[in-house]
Formats: sequence, structure tokens, C-alpha cells
Amino acid sequence: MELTVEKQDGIHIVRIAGRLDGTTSSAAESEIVKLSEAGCRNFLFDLTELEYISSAGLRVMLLAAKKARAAGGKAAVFGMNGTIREIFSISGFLTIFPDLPSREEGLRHMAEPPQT
Amino acid sequence: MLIHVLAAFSALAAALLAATLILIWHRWRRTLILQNVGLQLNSTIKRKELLRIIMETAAETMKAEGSSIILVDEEKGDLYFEVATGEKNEEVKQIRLAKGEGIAGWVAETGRSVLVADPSKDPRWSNRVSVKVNVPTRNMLCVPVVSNGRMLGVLQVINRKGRRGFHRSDLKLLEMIAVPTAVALENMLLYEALLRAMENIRETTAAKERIESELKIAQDIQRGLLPGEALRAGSVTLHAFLVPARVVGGDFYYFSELEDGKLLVCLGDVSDKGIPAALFMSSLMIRIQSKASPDLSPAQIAEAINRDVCREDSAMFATIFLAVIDTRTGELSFCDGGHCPPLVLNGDGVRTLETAKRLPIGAFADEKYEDRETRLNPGETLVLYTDGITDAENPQGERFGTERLKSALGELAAGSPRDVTQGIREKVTAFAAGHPQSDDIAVLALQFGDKD
Repeated sequence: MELTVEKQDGIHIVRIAGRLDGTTSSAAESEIVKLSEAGCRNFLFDLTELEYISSAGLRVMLLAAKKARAAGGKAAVFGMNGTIREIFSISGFLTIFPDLPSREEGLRHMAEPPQT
Repeated sequence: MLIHVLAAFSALAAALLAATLILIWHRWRRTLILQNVGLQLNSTIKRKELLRIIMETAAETMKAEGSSIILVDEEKGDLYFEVATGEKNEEVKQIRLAKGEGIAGWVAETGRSVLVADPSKDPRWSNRVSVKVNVPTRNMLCVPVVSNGRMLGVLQVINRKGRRGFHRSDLKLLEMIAVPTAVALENMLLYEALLRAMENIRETTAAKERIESELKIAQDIQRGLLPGEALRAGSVTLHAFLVPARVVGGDFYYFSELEDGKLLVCLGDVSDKGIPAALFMSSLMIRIQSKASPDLSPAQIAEAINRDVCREDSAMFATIFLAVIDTRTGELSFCDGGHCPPLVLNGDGVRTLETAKRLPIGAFADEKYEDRETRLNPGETLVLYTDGITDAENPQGERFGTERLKSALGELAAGSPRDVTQGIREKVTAFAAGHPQSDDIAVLALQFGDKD
């Protein structure tokens, strides 16, 4: 699992590649906590290279969504493959992570103020 | 004249021969001494005995009144030795020297041997030790004991017996004795390290066994929270099974009869697995039992449980499918918290139940769940399952998957709920072909009315 953070237009783009499961999720979780403590409120996840996500991985995504909401920000994803999208769909996570078709759409979405 | 020269010559030759013979004899004797020392020192690896032998052998060989073997404490960075005191040697004192303290400390630090003919004139001398043991030191030899480049300690002898003090040749002899001493000490240290390692293993194994037996008890407690495997109420029969991936797990199901012929049924999956999931599952089971009420719809029950369970600092969640069925009419009211789509089985095949998809329990405290209604026709079976079934893998890395589950159910359509759950269990086990179970598995089959 590889997690890299890029800043573009004032938005943190978190790219997660590989497998996000029980063995790799705590490393990802610490990164999210670090970002949140440093004041990051908006999380745009680049999941183009995410191959697999388990419920432990979903917990990390949920944590990011909770931190974003608590700080008055937003969370969204782009680049999911079919398998990942199905997992997000079945678990109801598409209701909290808008599924955006591209990086540009993602940045555009994040730039809008969050709906109350 | 020639006679005098010859006589002088032969006297000289005789003297030289005698000197050589004496030298050879000394060397031979020294070799014997060392051989004997070597034998003595190899006779034991037990600390107390070995240290005693070292000291006795050194004192005897060097004709000294006393000797000490002072060991390096690598952890603390200082030196220590034990001295028997008192007339009958009953008391043992442990004396510690700071790094570099005294002659011994100096030898340990520099790795050089030292002959001290007069301690009072040597600036390195610290009389702390001789005062403690009540033995005035007139002269001494001190050599480092080194093995494989590691400073193990310092060997010293004090107060040569007889009239003369120690000579340089004595120092050389003590240096030679230090060699087998080093080997013996190293063996002793290795032996002690081995004993410690073995004790460590014994303790770790005992701790592991304690944890395993506690897990078994936890497993029993968790099993006790489940409502059993089967139920018959009104026209409804149901059967369920649950197999954790580890000793305790996060999958759960629950059913209980409410008033007016209603039956509450639910099944779900706590995120992740193992002990944290098991603890969350246990607390969830208790909340479901407490919130179950005939006056609340499934969505209201789910919302009540969710409000209780959500915590700001935790992202643990549990997927859940929760339904209330009228056991007389087959009317089913249900809500979905991020769970895999339930299936309905009848003579014509398998259909997926449409739900109003919401987040799992534990995500956001203000989550609103939504009820949907349907009706089970006589003979129809509702099948709930967790993703441990669909995610089950075989050694080739293939997933069991939803399609395979649907077709397996199709084959079991004619059976009772018990036939259905057992059948699924057998098919998944056969599919996995020995590949270890990586996720908890739960299945609940609920049939309305007998087939006519």
C-alpha cells in the first residue's frame, strides 16, 4: 500500500495505491490523522491505483469522512475501478463519498462549499 | 696454555648447556602448568564454581596470596567481583568498580597488562577495594581477559609469596593463563545466555497458553450471546450458522419474537475481525436485544442502536440488515445498513431483495434509515449472509462470489432452512478446498409457510 499526498489549488489529494486491508490500514489511518491534525479539512481521494479494499480499509475512509465533516469540510473520491465501486456501493459509502469521474471533476467538486 | 683455554671453554660450554637445559626445563614446566590450568578451567561452566577455580588456579600457579577475577558488566558499563570474607569465608560481598576505576578499571579500559610493584606509588591505584576486603596490597599483577575481541574482565593476583615480588616473567605467565580463562568465561556466559533464552521461551509459551484458554472462554461467551441456531414461530422456520475466522469474530445474527406474532431478525458484520470486532459485536448484540420492540419499525430500531453506538473518535462500524416479519402473513418490513443484498429463494429461482441503502451502524450518529416493505409468499425463503461467503477464496485465488451463491441456492430451493444453510456451508467449504478461512461467515435462512 502506498499513500501519497499532493496539494493542488489548496486541496489535499490523497492517492492510495495497492491494497488497503487489515495489514496496511493502520499506516493509512495515521496519515489521515496527521493530515487532519495539521488542519486539513478536505480530502479528495485518488483511488485510480487502489486494487482492493477490505472493511478495515473502509474504516480508514470513514475516519477521513468523519474528520472532514467535523471540521466543516468535504470528502470525495475519483478513479475507482469496478470492484472498488461495488464495495463502496454495497456498504453505503457512496452516500458519503461522491464518486467523481475524473481528477478535474474532483477538484471542481471540492472547490464548491459543502452543502449543509 | 692450550689446556687452560680448553678447560675454560668446556666450563663455558657446560655452563651454557646447563643454562639451556634449565631454560628448556622451565619452558616445559610452564607448558605443563598451562596445560593443567587449561584442564582445570574447562571442568565446569557454572559461574560460582568456575570463578572459584580461576582464582585458585591463578593464585597457586603464580604463587600469590590471593587473586580475583573481575568481570565486566556490559549493560551497566562497570566492573564487579565477589569476594569471600570472614574467617570461614561465609560472607560474600559484591564489589563494584566504576569504569576506569583503580588498576583493574585501567586494565579493562586500555587492554594492557600491569605489574604493580608498589601500589602507593601508582597514581591509578585505588585502595577502596583492599580496604573493603581488609587485605593490604604489597604488590600485584593484573591482566585483561579478552575473547574474540570482547573484554570479559580482568584477572589479578596480589602479594607474591616468599621474599621477592612479581617479575615481568610472572606477568607473561599470567597473560598466558588469561587465554584459557577467557575461553572458559565465554563458555560460561554463553551457557547463561542460553538458560535465559530458554526461560524466556518457557514464559512466552505459558503466556500464550493463558491467552488461548481465555480466548476459548471468550468464544463460549460470544456463542452464548447468539440466540441459538433455529426457531419456529407461526408459519416461519429459520435456521442460522456462524463460523468466526479466528477464535472470536465480528459477524453476528439475532432473532427474537416480539408481540402480535412479529419476529425480529437481523444479521451483520463488524468491520475487521478478531478481538476488537468481537468486543464491538458483543456490545452490539446487547443493544439490539434492548432496542427490539414491537412499537418500532426496523429503521427506527436501527437508528436507536446507531445513536448509542456511534463515537466521535472511532470509525468502527457494523453492516446490518434488520427486518421484522409477521409470522402469520409473511409481511416483511426491513432496512439496510451497508449490508450485502439479501436473496429470496423460491421454486422459480433466486431474486435479489431491493433495499434502501444506508451507511453501516456506527458511522454517523444522525444517519437516517429507511424501511421498505415486501411479502414472502408461502414456501419462499429469505437468505441473509455476510461477505465471508462471497469473499471466500480457493487456493487458485478465485472468489466464491454472488453468482455462485445464487446458483448454489437455486439447487437448494426445495429444502428446509436447515438444508439451505447446511448446503451453503458445504458448498463454500468444498469450493475453498482447504484454503484457510480469512473472514467470519454467517448465514441465516428464513422460510415462510410450508410448501404445499
